[in-house]
Amino acid sequence: MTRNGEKSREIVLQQFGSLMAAQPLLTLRDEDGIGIPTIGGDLVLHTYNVIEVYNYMYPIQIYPNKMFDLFAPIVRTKRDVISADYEHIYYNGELCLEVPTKVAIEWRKNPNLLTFVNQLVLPWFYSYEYYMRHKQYPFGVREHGLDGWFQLYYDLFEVSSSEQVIALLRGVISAPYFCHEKCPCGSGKTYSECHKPQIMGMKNSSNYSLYKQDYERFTRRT
Amino acid sequence: MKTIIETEEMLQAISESIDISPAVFQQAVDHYTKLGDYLEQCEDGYPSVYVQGSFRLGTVIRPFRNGKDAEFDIDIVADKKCSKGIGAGGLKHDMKRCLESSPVYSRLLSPKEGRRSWRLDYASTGVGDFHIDVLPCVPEEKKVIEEMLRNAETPQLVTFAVEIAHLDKKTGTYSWKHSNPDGYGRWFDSINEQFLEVAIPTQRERFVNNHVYASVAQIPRRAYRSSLQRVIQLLKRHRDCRFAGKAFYDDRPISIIITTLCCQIARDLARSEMSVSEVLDVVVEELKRYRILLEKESYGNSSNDSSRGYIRVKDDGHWNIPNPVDPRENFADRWHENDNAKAIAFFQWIEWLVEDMKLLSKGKESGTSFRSLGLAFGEDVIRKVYRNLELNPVPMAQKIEPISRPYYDQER
Repeated sequence: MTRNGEKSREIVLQQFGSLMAAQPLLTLRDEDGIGIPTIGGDLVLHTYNVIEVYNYMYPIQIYPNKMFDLFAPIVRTKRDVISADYEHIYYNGELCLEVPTKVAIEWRKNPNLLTFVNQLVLPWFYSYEYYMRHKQYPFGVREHGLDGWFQLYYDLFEVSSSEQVIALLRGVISAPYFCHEKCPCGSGKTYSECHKPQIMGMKNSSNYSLYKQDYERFTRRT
Repeated sequence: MKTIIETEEMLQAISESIDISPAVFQQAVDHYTKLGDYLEQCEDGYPSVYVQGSFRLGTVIRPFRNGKDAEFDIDIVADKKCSKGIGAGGLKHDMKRCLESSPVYSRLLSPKEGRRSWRLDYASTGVGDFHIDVLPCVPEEKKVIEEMLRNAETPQLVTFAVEIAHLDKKTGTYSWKHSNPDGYGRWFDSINEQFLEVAIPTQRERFVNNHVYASVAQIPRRAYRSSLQRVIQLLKRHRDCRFAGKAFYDDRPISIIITTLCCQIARDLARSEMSVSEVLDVVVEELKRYRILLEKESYGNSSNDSSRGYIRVKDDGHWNIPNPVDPRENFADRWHENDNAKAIAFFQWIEWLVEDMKLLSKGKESGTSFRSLGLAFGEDVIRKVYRNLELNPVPMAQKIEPISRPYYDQER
């Protein structure tokens, strides 16, 4: 096993304790004693700070990534416990928690299994139960496909069109702007008065490769 | 840790945990006995004081208000044994004066007047986990009783009829309402007797082992619970939990309807040695049949049907569930109002019941049944039961911090 893998294995074993304290019906699946252990069992949706309280259990499997710190785990449930017309789940039972870039950004801020479950997995199941009753999403929803990715960047850059997002992302991956130049978003303001903090932040963050990938994704398809 | 459990064991454990504990029960009995003695010797007092309602019947459950468990509720009836000449308002205030003249009870007396009762609040003063409502009443007039005797189902019980002083809170006027709590209790006991005989030997040991009572001889008969009483407790609790927070909460079936129907069905269809889950099955199966009453115009008189007419619809569309000890009283007298709102709520509840029982018998794996049981009987209760049965522990509530917005990638 690679050095990365060994380290990840240790972190999973370490973090599992605090996860199990909150979700006692989850167990560690580590039969062979090597590799990255997975986590399986029943996830209990039993929450107190939300609009309606639901008490349910869902069979889930959590697969931590080999590069634990960099990529969030994949979560699957049994396909038949989720209604067939609910869209935010793939055929193999994997949950569509969020736009992958957003998941990765949040995960890298705090690569912790318990936080991950509380911030992404439980809200996903909560959204599901709420949607099945009210045909609305309690915390909002992303558009399907590429529109969802754009929506994420609308939030990050506080803009409202896909052209602006592409221009700003180009700013992130290309050579630096001079402060007195016009901002790529097309607002007419100078760069330093406009999107400089966001662009510089993204340029220097560990997520740079994610933004680069997304830029390529956008330009390839539009 | 166990993961497989039997339905019977589960139902027993749930009903025990919603029941009053033997220690609190004994405390309550001591307190209302003392209160009874006091009312008796009070200035031209109340010669006959007895407990009524679920406490009397042994079907008491912890009330569930606003999604939380609340304190127990004990009703006692104080019969003044005088004529109605005293006036309903006069009787009510006579009772208040009587309670106020005692240094003990004046401290416990709640200032707000109840519809039928005065409340002694033992819980807020830290004495016990209950409050006692005292209902003053006078005996029913002789000629009315004679009249009732002629068309009563159970003539020997009619003689216990009383008139309870009743305050209409909207208009502030008092009136008399007929009732027969003692007769109802005796009717219930006569049916419950055979079920209780079977249950007593198995429960006797446990009371002594738990050091609640020093010896078998000291255990009062009312501390035991038959399978029929357990079923009524479970059904009442299920109703409380399933209707909590619902828009038609006010239309939920009242306890006396549940008790009466269960009792009649058990009398006719169940055998005394049946377990809780078996009696529950019998009751639910029977009640399920009455659903057609909602669709049919008239049903009660068709003799071909296999049902026994515990619930009937009269020709004018009024529902009828008669009080077995008082022919004048119909428990379902308001069921036809608002397009049968109460009747619909009742059958909705039966539907929930069927659903939950199915899940319970199917999902013996502790994980699956937690889901349905928490909804049906309240999660606090179920968590306690899981702990006592040493099942997988149930997690504490989690705070979720949503950053997730569900997304779908069409490419995959």
